[in-house]
Amino acid sequence: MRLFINLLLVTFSLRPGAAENLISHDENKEYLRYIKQLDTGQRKLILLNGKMYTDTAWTSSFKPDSIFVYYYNVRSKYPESSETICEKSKNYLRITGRHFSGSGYITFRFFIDSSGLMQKRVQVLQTDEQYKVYRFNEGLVWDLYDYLKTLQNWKPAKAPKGYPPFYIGLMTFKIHEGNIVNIIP
Amino acid sequence: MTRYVDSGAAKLPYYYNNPLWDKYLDSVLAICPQLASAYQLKAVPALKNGDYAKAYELDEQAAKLDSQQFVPYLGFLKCIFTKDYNGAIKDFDIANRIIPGGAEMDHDFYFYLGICYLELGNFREAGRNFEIDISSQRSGKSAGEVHFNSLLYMGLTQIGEDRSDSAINYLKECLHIYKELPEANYYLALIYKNKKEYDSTRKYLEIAKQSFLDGYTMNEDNLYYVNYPRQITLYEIDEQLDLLGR
Repeated sequence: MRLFINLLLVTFSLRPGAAENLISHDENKEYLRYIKQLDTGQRKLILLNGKMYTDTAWTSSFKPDSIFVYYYNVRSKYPESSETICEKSKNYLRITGRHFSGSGYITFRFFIDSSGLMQKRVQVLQTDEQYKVYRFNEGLVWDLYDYLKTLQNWKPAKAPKGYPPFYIGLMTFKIHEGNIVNIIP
Repeated sequence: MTRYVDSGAAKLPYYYNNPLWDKYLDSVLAICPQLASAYQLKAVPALKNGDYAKAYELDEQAAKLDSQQFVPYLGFLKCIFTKDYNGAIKDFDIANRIIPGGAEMDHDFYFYLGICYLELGNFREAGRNFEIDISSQRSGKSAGEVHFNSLLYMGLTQIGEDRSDSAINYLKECLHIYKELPEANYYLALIYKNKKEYDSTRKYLEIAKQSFLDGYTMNEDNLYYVNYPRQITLYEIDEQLDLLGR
């Protein structure tokens, strides 16, 4: 943040040569790395009202926090066993070639609509193995999110008239030393 | 509890997923901060909705305040909900010291210990615990009838130990009690597949599939929230049928 403010001052400064006085070589290098991240579309988790999201986009007229129906209210766990999903997600991560550390749980909460499609707004919850709030390497979170997006067989939501045509789905990846070891539910 | 939960929170639309659920339980805790069951009830939506940090903070508080009631419950949550088998083993070992041979959610502590060891790949310990579970049921109050899931998991443990004949016996005993159980039919099919007895493989896979389509399940109360270990879906059955060549 301090770097950003300094760079703003540099940008709008009326004195030529002010840059050399306000930012160091290391700060400039850090800024250029930040800009490069944005240019290459490197994703960052969004913190909003104390909750973390991969995306907060929401297009329905129903407020997302007003929906109470969960997958278990409509018997809509993903139609593959936890063991199957675990194997497939492990294979997916293996293909990326990336390695991570950390142990605990990464949970994604998302909305499934009446076409069985996952909506963009996805909340992320992370804990360590002792169930304390924790932050894994974001690369792992994004890789798991990318795997989650490959799941296409969610049961379409059905809602009585007047109710939001969504249900909240859930998928938790249990991680041990950077590897997926189980899936919930 | 009567005022705020039975007459209040329990009547909310969408029950514990109503945001007011928390407020009702907070009202109870403001008056009775040592009431263990209030912490457990407050944790329910957090647990079922994936907020494990919040859920376990509350459930662990419940267990501290009333170990007899909530240590086994904590073990059950770790075993079935968060698949934390090492954590569940610790809790059930403590539970066995507090209430020797006790039960949680319709099953002996040894049932859950068996599942934990099965999932950790320690088939010997799994078998030992399921043996205690099954023996106590045979000699217990319910006229000696053993729960079909105890027999199912014992059968799976025998598969893990490469004792296919013993596994077949346990799975067939399971099916004798509940012939439609998809999982028992499915895993029996896999044993026959390994033995290259493909007619029996197909027979049990077809039964598993029809049973699944007819709505038969493992009949555990929490199936709507989580998959029990080794629980299958139609996907796995169809996959095996495809491999067999329809």
